[in-house]
Parts: sequence; structure tokens; C-alpha cells
Amino acid sequence: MATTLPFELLRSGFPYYMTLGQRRVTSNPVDIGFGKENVYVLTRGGLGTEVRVINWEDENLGTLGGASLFQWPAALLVDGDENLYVTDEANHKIVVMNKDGELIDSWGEQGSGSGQLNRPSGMCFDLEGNIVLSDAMNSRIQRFTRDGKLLQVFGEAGEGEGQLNMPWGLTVDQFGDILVADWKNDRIQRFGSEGEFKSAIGSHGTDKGQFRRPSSVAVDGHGDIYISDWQNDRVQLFNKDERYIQSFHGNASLSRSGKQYVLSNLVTLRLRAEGDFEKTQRLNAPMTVKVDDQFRLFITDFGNHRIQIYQKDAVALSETEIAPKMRNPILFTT
Amino acid sequence: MNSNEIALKAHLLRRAGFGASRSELESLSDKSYEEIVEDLVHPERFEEIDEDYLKRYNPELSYHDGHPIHAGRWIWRMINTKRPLEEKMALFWHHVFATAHYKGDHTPSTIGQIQTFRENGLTNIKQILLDLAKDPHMNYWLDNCENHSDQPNENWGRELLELFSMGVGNYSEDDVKQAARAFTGWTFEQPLPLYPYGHYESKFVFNEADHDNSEKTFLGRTGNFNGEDIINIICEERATALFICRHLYNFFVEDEPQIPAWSIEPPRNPEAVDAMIDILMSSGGEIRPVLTYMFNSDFFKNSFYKKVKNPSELVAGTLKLSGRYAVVPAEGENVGTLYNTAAVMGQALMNPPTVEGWHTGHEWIDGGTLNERVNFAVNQFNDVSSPGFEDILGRLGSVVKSADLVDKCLDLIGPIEVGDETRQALSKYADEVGDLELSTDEDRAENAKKIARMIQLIVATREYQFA
Repeated sequence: MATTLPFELLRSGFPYYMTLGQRRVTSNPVDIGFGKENVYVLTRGGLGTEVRVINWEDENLGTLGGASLFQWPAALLVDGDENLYVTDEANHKIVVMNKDGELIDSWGEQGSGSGQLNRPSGMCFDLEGNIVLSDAMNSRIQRFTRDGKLLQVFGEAGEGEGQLNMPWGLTVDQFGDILVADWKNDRIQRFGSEGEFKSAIGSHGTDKGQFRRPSSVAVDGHGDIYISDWQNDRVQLFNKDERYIQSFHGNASLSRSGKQYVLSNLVTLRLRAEGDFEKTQRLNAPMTVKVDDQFRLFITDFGNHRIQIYQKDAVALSETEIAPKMRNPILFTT
Repeated sequence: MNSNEIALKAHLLRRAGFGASRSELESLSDKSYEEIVEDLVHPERFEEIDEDYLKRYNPELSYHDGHPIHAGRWIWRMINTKRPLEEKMALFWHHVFATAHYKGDHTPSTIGQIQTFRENGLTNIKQILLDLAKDPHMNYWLDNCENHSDQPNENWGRELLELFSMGVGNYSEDDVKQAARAFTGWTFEQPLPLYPYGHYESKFVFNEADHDNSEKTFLGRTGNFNGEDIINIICEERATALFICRHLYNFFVEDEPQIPAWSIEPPRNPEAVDAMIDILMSSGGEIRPVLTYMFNSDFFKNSFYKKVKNPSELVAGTLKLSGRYAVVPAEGENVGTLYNTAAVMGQALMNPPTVEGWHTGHEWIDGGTLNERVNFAVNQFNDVSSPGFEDILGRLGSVVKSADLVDKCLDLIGPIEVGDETRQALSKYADEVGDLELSTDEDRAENAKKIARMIQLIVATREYQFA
């Protein structure tokens, strides 16, 4: 990922790209990870708690993990060897399995001391490949090697700058900053790599730039910040300067497997023909956002059992390719 | 507070809510009984329950593909709400207007109806019946979506009169037919299918083209009545007020005979029900003043242990005491299990057996359900580290004399009054364990189990089954 950011962007658009999954395959998805060929979807809930494996043709390739390995999975990471790391909030552990679903490691113990965990939730790799995770009930962030050796602890419970209240998702950007979904404080906080507070985005509410229990955050190669605004059923995009840009409310179409299902069921076809179609497009409790190096945005549309994918269309601009910032707004815009 | 005052407030909160822990009762020490009644009938004075923690750790609550977890969520609300009468009234109307999930199998509509009861349960009987008539879950349950102008279906019209308002013997067969005609065209929007992305909500639709707008004669009145007119006429009838007030009395005060017997058996306390009817009718159908009168009445204050707890009351009330299923779920705690817990005791919430609802009172108890009830209550006190038990333990002081153990535990778990036979059995156990030291951690660790056993014996008693 680039270590310099474009001065500005021409934002051509951010069209809907495709949908993956359907109920009873990617049921209740909480996170997503990518292998060389396959897509791993972590699911949690009454319809299945496991990792579902699908491919880009939306074919169901089976399951990994399950109740024998984790009870309350919250986040999924896939490393270069295609090992899968899963946080388990109920057992205060990180479970590691290979791509065949075999348990290869498990670490973490409950407690509030350094290195101990109380409901580990969100998780990401840092620039060195270590694991940074939200230690939710301890209201702090901890960094570990992949085999569980503690490297760093920061954060404390509270509402002030740098304090946290049940953090959930988090990410590390290309400069090593750690952005945390400070869930119960309804904001995103940015910390430097040493854990120092840098900035905060948002407040409680439903307006643009406000959140109701943000659950996840991602940053793309342009420095754009994506935040799943869980209880507002939307994803919000902020630019590298943390200015609100746009919201995604959902624009899904049928996935490939979903279309096959509907086409093979006459009553389902009839009911879809009779109903209010707009509802089928929208997000419902989007739990995580991820971006890849192709500027695709992946939203785990938890309540709709699917992954909505969007493709960013933008042109990077240098400082000489755009007029300087203006001090005042103008009406004469032609 | 003196012990009589605590006992009376505990009685009120068992009936108008789902019981109270001792700390909850103590938090009411500066309020009079009458002030607590006012708070109960005005739930808007208190904050809505924060469901964020529950949804975070039971995330499937964010979608509506199966009703058990939402029924469990309802019990969790009963345990944790600061607005207990709001949930109790939702449960009351669910008893009266019994609508089962199994027919429609459409969770958004099932839980939507309960939410409607939560919102309108303390308002006006006209509003409540009108909302019910427009409710997709009820509409499908009683086939009004098949009630067409050229081919009426009488199911909803009949049950509206028989089971939801006036009761058998107060209307004619022709009134049923006329009511059915008035509700033609009252239907709902076709919801989208479950697959491939889960359920979506429906809503009421009035299809004017399918409505019989011609003249009807109903209960002696003639006009081009629609459904709302029928409800307005029904609510002018004293029979409706009797029906509703008898239900309220049965649910909140004292177990009445089962509903099918109401046309032949008078109310147990006709003076009380008559007084409630007068208030309901003179207020134009307002529920709140009836409840205020009822909770402040002598007949209510003297009705200790005249009701068998329904399973929801037993489950929610016991969990309030043990401190489990709190606002922040414990590790692995899934509220969906609470649905099954009440279901095996005979009350599958959101899934009553028939449109007649559950048979209540002593019919909650049979050999199987009594075992389930007792085992459940006892099991909640297996764990001496549960927050509720730790609270009880902390209130017992540094030593509990054997002679005091029964009374102290009966007081903290209720207060509960028990009969002589029960007291003798409890005292026998107290004699066996002797005086219990609780002054050091070691003492507490050694004796907590013995006190927990006393609590288990109490919640296993006959008396604990009554509210």
C-alpha cells in the first residue's frame, strides 16, 4: 500500500459492484477475509457460528471451525499462509486454524492484567504483521505477535480523548496509525503507533458524520476512511482529512447463488414480484467494512446474510492538478 | 421501610411487573405506594432500556428470521426494564389477543405485534382494538386477508366479538356477519420472501376496491359501517368493559375461572369488577385510570398469593433475584434459551396454543411443568457467585443464627410468607446447618453453599409458585 497519499481525489463515483452469499450459506456474517482463491466469511448467530468458504463465483465450498473452536467469534484475519485467526469473545481467546479448518494455535486468557483479555473483539494486522486487537471489556487496545506474545497495551475506560468504551473494530493505516471504532462512545479514534491520541471522528446521532454504535473501520490506499455505522444501518466514508464524504445505505442486487435460488422457486419468484423491492437493497446492521488494494469496499451486511461490494472510481490528483483550497465558498461555479 | 411496607411494594411489583430484588425495593424507600403506582402507569417517566449490549453479544437480534430469540429478548426486557408495567401490559394483551407465530411463521409481524402492545397497552381500548385490527400478524392469523367484499370470511369478525371484546352471549350470529363485511378489504402488504436475504416487514393496507361499503346493521345500529365503526360500537357496550375488566382482574389480582366459563360463572369479586367497569366506561375506554384504581384498591392489596405465577413471571422474577441475564450479557449467554425455558413450563411466548390463549391459574401446573418450574428456580442458585446471590449473602451480616436463617432468607427472597408445614421443613434444615459465620472470606466460602441451599429450598416451595 502506498505510503504517500494523493493530494486530492477526483471522485468519479463509488458504484455498487456485486453481492456475495445468501441466507443459509453466509448467514449472519460478522467479518470477511480473503485467501488466494477463496473468500472466508465468519458467521455468528442462530443460523450458524462458523467460517463459511465461498469463491468469487459465489459457490458454497463448505465450512471451517464452528462451536468446537469458538463460541462468540467477532473478527477474522487471514495471513499470507492462509491461516485464519478468529477472536472469541466468550472464551477470551484467539483461535488459529489452517485453511483446512485444523486448529494450529490458540492463545489468550481472561483477565485485566497486561496481556490478558476480556472479550477480544476487533482485530487487524499491523505493518509488521503483528496482531492489534480491541480488548473490549477492558476498554483498551493490545498488540501481540501472531503467536500471542504481548508487545503493547494502551487505552483506558472513559469518554475523554484517548479513552475508550468497549472498542470493537479497528485497523492500522499505511502510516501505522491505529483507528478504533470506539463503540459505546459513538466515535472513531485515531492513535499513533505508540498509542498516543491523535484525533477523533464523530459523535452520537443519526446525521451525516454521526454514529450509532460504530462497529468497524477501514482505510484505503487514498487514506479514505470507511466506518460501519452499525445501528444506523449505513457505512460512512470520510477522507484522509477526516471530512465526511458520503454514506452507503445499500444498493444490493441478488448474488449469483441467490439468483439461482430464486429462479428455481416459483412462489419465491411471485413474492418478489409483489413486494416492495427497495427494501431488498438496503443494509441491515452492517458489522464490518474492509477494503482491498483494488479499492473495493466489502460490507458484511449482517442482517441480510450477504456481502455487498462496491468499487471505487477515483483519480488521484497532485497539488498542481487542482485549484488551491478556497477560503470562501462561491456561488459562481460554472 | 417497615416490613409490611416492603411486603406490599414487593406484591405490587410482582403483579405490575416481574418482581424486584431487595436493592430495587430499597431504591423505592423514599416513594409512597401510591407514588410507585403512578410511576408504573407512566412508564414514559423512565428511560427506555438500552439494548445495545444485548444486540452486540446476541447479534442475531438484528434480523428477524426466527422468533425464539426475540421471545427470549422479551423475557430479558421483563428482567431489566425500568418500565415493568409496559412489558406486563404487552404480556397481558398477548394473553387476551392470543396470536401464534406458527401459522404465519413471519417473525417481523410476530414481534411487531408485541411492540404494538408495548406502545399502546396503557392507552385506550378503542385504539388498542383498532391497532389490533390493522396488525398483519392478527390479520393473517384470523384470515381477514381472505375477507373479500364478494366472499366474506367471518373468522376475524367472530373472534373480535367472542374472544377479544364482548364475549359469548352478547351478540347475534348476524352481528358476526355484519362485522365481517365491515372489515372486508382490511389486509396487509405482501412481504418479500425469506430467501435469499431474510424476512422483511409487512404493514396494514386498506384495499378500498375490496371493501363492502354498503349498509349494515350491527348491534342495533345501522349505517355504512367500516371496521373502525364496528370497533367504536363495540367499545360503547358494557359487555366489552366487563370482558376487559375481568381479564384485568384475572391477570393482575386473582385467578378467575377459565375464559370459556365466563358466560356461566360470575366474577369472583363482582363489586371490584363493577367498579373497574365504571371507570373504564366513564373515561371513554382509558386503560390507565382503571389500572391506577385497581393497584390502589384494597382488593388488590389484599390479594397476596392469589395468583399462580405464569411461566414468564416465574422465569423473569427468578432471574431478577439471581442477577443473571442482566443488561450486559455474560459470556456465552444467549437470550434465545429463555424462550425454551418458559416454553417447557407451558408458555411458549409468541406462540400461544390457540386463539383462546393460555389457560391460566392452577392450569399452569401439572406434574411435568411443576418439575420444570421447581428445577429451573433451584438451578438459578447453584452458582454462589451469581450477582443476585452475592447480594443476598452481603445482606446477611457477619453471622446468621440458625434461628434467624429462615426468616432472613424468606425476607430477602421476597418477602415471602409460607405456611406452617413449609416453615417446619425450612427450619429443620436451618437447625441442621446451625449458626453460620460469614465474617471472613473463608467463612463465606464455607457457608455460602449452605445459605444457597436454603434459598433453593425456598424457591422450591409451593408458596414461591404464587405471586
